[in-house]
Amino acid sequence: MQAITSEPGIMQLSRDEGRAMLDERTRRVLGMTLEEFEAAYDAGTLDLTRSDVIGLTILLPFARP
Amino acid sequence: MTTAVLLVSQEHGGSEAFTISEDPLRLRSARLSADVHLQLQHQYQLVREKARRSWHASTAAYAYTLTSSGRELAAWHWHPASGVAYPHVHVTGAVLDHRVHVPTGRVSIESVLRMLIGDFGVAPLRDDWDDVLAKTERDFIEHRRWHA
Repeated sequence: MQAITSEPGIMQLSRDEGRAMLDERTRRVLGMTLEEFEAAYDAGTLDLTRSDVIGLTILLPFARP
Repeated sequence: MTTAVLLVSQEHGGSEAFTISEDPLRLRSARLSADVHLQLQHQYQLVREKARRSWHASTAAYAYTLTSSGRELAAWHWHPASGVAYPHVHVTGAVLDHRVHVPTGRVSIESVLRMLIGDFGVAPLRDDWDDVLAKTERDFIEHRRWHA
C-alpha cells in the first residue's frame, strides 16, 4: 500500500493487496472466496439485482486487469 | 466525517477502481437513532486527451449505498455493463422496492456526502467541508462528458 499523491487519505494497493481486500469482502458479504466470485462473474451466474453484488463487481479492477 | 482512506487499484492501463478502506463506513447520524453506513464503489478509466496532452478520468460504473440497522435506505447506481444502462437510485418505500430503478442524472459522490452532512446530521471533520466538496464537484460537473 502506498500513497500516490501528497494529499492525505488516498492509498494505492498492489495487485496482491487488492485481491486480499476484495477476497475479504466477497467472503464477508457473499460467503464466497474471490476466486469463486470471479468464476461466478465470468459464468454470468451472479445475482446482479443485489446492490452488494453490483458493488463487488465494480471493484474487480482491484483483482485483475 | 471519517479518518478512513480511499483505496485505489493499481494502474495497468485498463479499468481502475476505488473504494473506502472501512467497509461499510459507519457514520454517526444526529438525525437517526442508529448509525448510517456508507459503501462506495467506483470504477473509471484513465483516458489520454491527445490534443491537450493530458489525462482525464472517465467513470465506468458507480454504486453508493446507504444502510442503517441492516436495512438499505437508498442506493445510487450506474453499471451499464450489468443490465441497466442508465443512472438510477433504489429506494425503499411504500410502493417502491429494490426492484425498481428510479432514473436519475449522474450522481456525484459529493452530493451524497453533502446529503449525509446536511440531512443525516453526520459531523464533518473539516470546517471547510463545504468548500472542499464544492471544488471537487465543480471539477466533476465541468469535465463530465455526459449527464442524463
